[in-house]
Amino acid sequence: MMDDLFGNIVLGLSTALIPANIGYCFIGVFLGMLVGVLPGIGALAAISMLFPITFHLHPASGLMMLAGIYYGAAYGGSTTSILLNLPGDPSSSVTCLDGYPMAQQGRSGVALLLTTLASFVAASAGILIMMLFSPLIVDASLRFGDAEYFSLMLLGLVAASTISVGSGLKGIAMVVVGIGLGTVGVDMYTGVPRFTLGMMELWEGLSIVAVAMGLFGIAEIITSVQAAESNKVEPKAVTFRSMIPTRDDWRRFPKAAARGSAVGAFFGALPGTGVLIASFMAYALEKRVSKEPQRFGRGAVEGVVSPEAANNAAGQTAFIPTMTLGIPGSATMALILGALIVHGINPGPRLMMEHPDVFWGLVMSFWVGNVLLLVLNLPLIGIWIRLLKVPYRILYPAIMMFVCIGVYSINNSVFDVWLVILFGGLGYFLRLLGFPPAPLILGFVLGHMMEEHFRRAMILAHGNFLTFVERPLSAVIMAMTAALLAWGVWSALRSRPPLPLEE
Amino acid sequence: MTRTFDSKELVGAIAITTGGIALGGYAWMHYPMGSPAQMGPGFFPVALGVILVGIGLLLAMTAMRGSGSFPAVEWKSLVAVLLSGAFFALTVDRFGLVPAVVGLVIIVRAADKKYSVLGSIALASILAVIAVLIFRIGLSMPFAIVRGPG
Repeated sequence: MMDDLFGNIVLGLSTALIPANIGYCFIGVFLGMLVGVLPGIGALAAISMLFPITFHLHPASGLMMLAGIYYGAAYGGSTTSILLNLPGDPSSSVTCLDGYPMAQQGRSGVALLLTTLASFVAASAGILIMMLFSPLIVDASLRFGDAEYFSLMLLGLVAASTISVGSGLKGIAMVVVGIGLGTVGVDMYTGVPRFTLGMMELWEGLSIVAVAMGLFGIAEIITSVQAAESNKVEPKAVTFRSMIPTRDDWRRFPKAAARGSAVGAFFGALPGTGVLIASFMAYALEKRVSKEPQRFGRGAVEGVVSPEAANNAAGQTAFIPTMTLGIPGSATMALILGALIVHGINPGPRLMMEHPDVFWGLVMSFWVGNVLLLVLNLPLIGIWIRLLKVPYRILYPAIMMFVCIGVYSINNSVFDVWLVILFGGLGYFLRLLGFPPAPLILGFVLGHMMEEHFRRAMILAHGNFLTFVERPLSAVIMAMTAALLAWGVWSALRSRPPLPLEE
Repeated sequence: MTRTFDSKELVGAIAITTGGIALGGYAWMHYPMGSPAQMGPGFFPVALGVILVGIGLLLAMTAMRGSGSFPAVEWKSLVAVLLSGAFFALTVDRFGLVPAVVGLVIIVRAADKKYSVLGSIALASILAVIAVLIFRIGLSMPFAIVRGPG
């Protein structure tokens, strides 16, 4: 087993260290940091915008780039939180609590240095966990049948829609709408074209790029154009001298980083919880174990280090269920899976065996990317600060252009451009009505697979619906799903104030 | 006494219910259901439609208990952004990349509070150059840069 691991590491490194792949990884983490720093453009929008480019790349290279955007954004988001008290990326909102007070005390340099270090340590821990546990999960999953897969996907979808987004009921509604949109196209069992409305272009289904770019790219532009006008910020320059932590800071750092990494790694791997919940949990834990909880909110170092460690560890472990079981825990992970699917790679436990270069190359590229981030983040802070002054007036036409050209470039098809516009309008109204778009994408990507597993499980069980609760493993998963669902509906009915969370 | 309800939530509930009826109803009418052991193409979509209607009704229940009004729609941004995309879709095949991008940028800038003609033209030219550099030259995608009509 250790020999296997060693061989896999070598294989992964030989893929990840190809100069071109280092280049794609660099582009990914650089863009990730960029969108992480800039408030208003999230990793999700950035990934959907770069998605079309991956069609023209080797699947491993494309994945490395998209993944880089994802974890790069987790690094970059803390910068804006600390300097401006404005989370550049939703996952860094907790960092504002103590990061901004530190900046007000003239300690922004220390905060930035320590979050960067914490991010690196935590990400490394996350990658190690992924390397050790992924093969074990794949082994265990070989005992799963269609019923188990269907139950797991259902659990993932219910968890993602009830936990991390405001109204559970609305989240579930969006998942179902997403699955429904996923049924468009030729039915794989009977060959009947469904919901194609006589359009040949729809036989292969709706393009995931068009759906994602419309819901996240275009809808985000429409929402932000008016809101972002008043973005006048004057962050102070950060010098290298100001980054030197005190001895007290160093004393507090290791434990906070370790606790944050552990919390993050755990919540990151669970479906539906993701980086945002992980960082909130880490902050809460840190405050609880602290001997002086009154320091929190006034510039406590632990309050910055621990949540940032958590969101970076979670950012890495989120890849575990996605890459081993083919079950994404968040919309971002769903897009990463989508990138595999468009290359004809079936996500699931066989991925690691059939395409070890893709799997281990991606894992090893995480190291490359994190080293790049560690090296780049601090020296580039001056550039990021200047970038914060670029007005949205100039940014949004550029985003609109990239979305349109990007979606057109996949098949040179104007049809996809019309789809993106349609979903942009739809996405805007969904946001307006408080429906979270992220679960829709999850449902859309998982929909095909769910239907396939569901129908095959039913064929195997000779039409007995109870198969999902008669098989012990499936029954356990179904019970968890039912509990979550009950909780989601119950909390929606007693009108819990919605948390505007999105990943 | 007038009953209060949350009009934003109610619109959402109605949209979900209608969507469910449309999805399930269309599948029911056009695709065979099959049997549980051998499902037809209609089974899954009809089930989804039924679930959506159920969620829609639950949402309506919560909406009837709250109070709130429909949020303001940013019509100007919405129309400008969607029109700019439509312009791109209509022109890119016939006239090429550059005219489509220039038109897109000039239209989408109308979403701004302050519209500056010169600024838009300048930005449009810069972005058109960037587009050609990245997509045509950098990624060598088979787009026509400019194409005459016909």
